[in-house]
Amino acid sequence: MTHRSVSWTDAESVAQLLARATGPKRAAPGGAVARLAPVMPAAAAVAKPRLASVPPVAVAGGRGAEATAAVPRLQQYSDNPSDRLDLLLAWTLDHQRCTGAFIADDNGLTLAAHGISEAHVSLVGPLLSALLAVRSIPGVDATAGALWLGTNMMSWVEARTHRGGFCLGTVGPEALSTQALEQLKDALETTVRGL
Amino acid sequence: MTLSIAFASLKGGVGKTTTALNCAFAFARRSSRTLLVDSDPQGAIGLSLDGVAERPGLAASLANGESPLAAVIKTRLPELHILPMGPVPALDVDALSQTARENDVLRRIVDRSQQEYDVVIFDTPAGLGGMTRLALEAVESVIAVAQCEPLALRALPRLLELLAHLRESGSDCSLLGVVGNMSSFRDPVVLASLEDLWGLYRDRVFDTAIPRDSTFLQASRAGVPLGLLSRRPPGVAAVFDSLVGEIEGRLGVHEGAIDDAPIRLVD
Repeated sequence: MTHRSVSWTDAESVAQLLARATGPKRAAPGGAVARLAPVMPAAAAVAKPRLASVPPVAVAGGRGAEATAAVPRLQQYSDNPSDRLDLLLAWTLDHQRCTGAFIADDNGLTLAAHGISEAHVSLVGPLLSALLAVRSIPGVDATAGALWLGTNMMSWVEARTHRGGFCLGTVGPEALSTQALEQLKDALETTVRGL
Repeated sequence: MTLSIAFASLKGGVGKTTTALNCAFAFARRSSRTLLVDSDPQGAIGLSLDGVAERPGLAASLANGESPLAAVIKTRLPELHILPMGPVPALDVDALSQTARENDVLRRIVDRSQQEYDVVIFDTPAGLGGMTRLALEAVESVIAVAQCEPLALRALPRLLELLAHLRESGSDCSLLGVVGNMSSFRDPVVLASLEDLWGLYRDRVFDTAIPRDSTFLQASRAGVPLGLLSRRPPGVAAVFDSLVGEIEGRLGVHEGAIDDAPIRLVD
């Protein structure tokens, strides 16, 4: 007989509900539904990015620093890599000033993405490769940064594990603040630590 | 800024009213100007307090087109005011919710409390519709009350679903935490429920769990908050001081307060 908890409740679904039911206010009525619902499995992310159809949304609602300061720490409860990446992506879209986000490995392979275009996805690999040379300069960390794409800013952070590097990036109207980048880095490290 | 907190649960009988009442009392004892609002058509707060049940309350104000705060009652504690629901005829319960929604009355209570109160606490009826939903739409913080037993835990995700949908529709409400109620370390099912609660909801669960204790029945019989059951409050009343301390901590109430330094015992 299979052991069943008294609550008959699935821990992963609770973790996802908690992520949706806690934290600072979502600033764009209706927008968050559109952003959260189609968070794609990793395999589907590259093949079918939804990106251009998502209009720019002021996630921080113009509250700037206060909203950023109130961002809750990402908590990962699942051992499933796909669920962890999806939750990281949803957390990023919910709590950072961006219209899209992606997670890639250090070969530039996109593991999950939402709200960015094919063109942006294709940038990730060359960008991370270019940074390898930058990092060879003594005293330069270069594990976070921003790139102007003409109409948007791409911001990203990287985290290293024994399985290689991972990158979490966003696309939005402005580059992320230093504080936001630190939050992203913490969230990424929390996520990949268990992979 | 005035804090607005709703105590809610889909399942009935989990102790929402007792928790809301005693937390309001604890807030007031900690010098926060507190308004306890009964949004339950049953009038559970009024039924819990001797001398309040038959007084006109929010329902009458709504029916008469008066200010939503017209029926506020002062209490023995200067910092604690109560807005009871007052009697609601059984056939008028649905109409009450509808009228309350049309008049956006619970949100107006929060808005009008900004000057006079530090905290507005809503006790809500069981369920997720009607007045409960209105309360959740009106507040910024929601505390889920979970009785430490299987059925209450199974119903808890439904409240989170509603909160998530409300937030995605633009509401300010956010789950502040889950408080376990009627806990006991002696009953294996209650203990297993507590463990499940901690395992599933982790840091969202308040460290303070409210124990099952016959003192609650005594307070209910007397129609008083635990803290006024006798001149020397029962020990279990301190549970709500602890819970309110945690609530204040999560809301950052005293962060940066310049007059909150340690006080020397001996001058």
